[in-house]
Amino acid sequence: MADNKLDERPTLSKEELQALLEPQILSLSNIQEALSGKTRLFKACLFAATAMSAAYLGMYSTGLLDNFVSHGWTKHYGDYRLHQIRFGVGFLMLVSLYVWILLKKPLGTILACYAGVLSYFLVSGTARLFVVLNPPNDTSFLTIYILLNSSFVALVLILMREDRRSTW
Amino acid sequence: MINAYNTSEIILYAFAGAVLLHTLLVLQMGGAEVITVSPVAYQMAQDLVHYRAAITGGLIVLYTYLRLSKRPVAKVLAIVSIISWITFVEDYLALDNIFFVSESTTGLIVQTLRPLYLMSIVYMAVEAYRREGSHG
Repeated sequence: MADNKLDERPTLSKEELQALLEPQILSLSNIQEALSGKTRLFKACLFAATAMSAAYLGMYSTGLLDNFVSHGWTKHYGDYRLHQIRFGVGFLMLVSLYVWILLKKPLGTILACYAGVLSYFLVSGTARLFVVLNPPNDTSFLTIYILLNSSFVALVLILMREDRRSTW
Repeated sequence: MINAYNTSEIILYAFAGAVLLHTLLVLQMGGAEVITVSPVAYQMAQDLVHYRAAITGGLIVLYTYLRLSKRPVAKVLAIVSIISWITFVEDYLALDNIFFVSESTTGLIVQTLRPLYLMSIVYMAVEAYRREGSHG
């Protein structure tokens, strides 16, 4: 009797069983599939943020940015180290965002943290430039700096909004 | 009843108070204006003065407001904790631990409270997520 009852239970297919047994961390889908549930604006902003970050990091590693960051003005070792750390953090943020997307995890908190960190970079970087530059003489440079950094914050905020509208 | 979360909250407010007091004292010393006069003041004024206190203070005021109005606090705590850890790394690796100035008592207090604060803020964020039951 008991055997019959066991036989009547719906059995799992091989694929279903494999999907259940597979550890979550290893089930990285490809990026196209991971982004399929996102809105068009989300994808556009992600592309823009990635392209800008890659350009920023590329210019930094080739040394093209050296004259335009506070280290270039002050020649102070502390400023140089600070930039190294901040570019490292930026790179880690970009990588972890993609990992989160691939894992199809909710992005709300991670993007909120990014917005906070980028705002901190923007405010502290501007404050530092105000100290090392003479603002009345270098308004254009300061404006470009603020605009560039603000665009990153804006992109992250749009990503946050679009993530809420996406299906996952 | 005082639980671990409340204790962490006390540490957070004590640390925020010490940072604000220290910042005000540095500003009283002349802030960034004394850069060319004293190398110690240069190091201190370099990064910690205005904006860090403003950002940390602003976020903690926001946290207090959300807590008092019984709204979700987990996201704010996550942001505060990540910024706190980044500033800690910056201080430690780039700015030669600018908080540590042997002549300054407030600097010593900040330095002593900092590890406790860093642990507390992470604990608070995790605990808030657990209580609020949201992971997004």
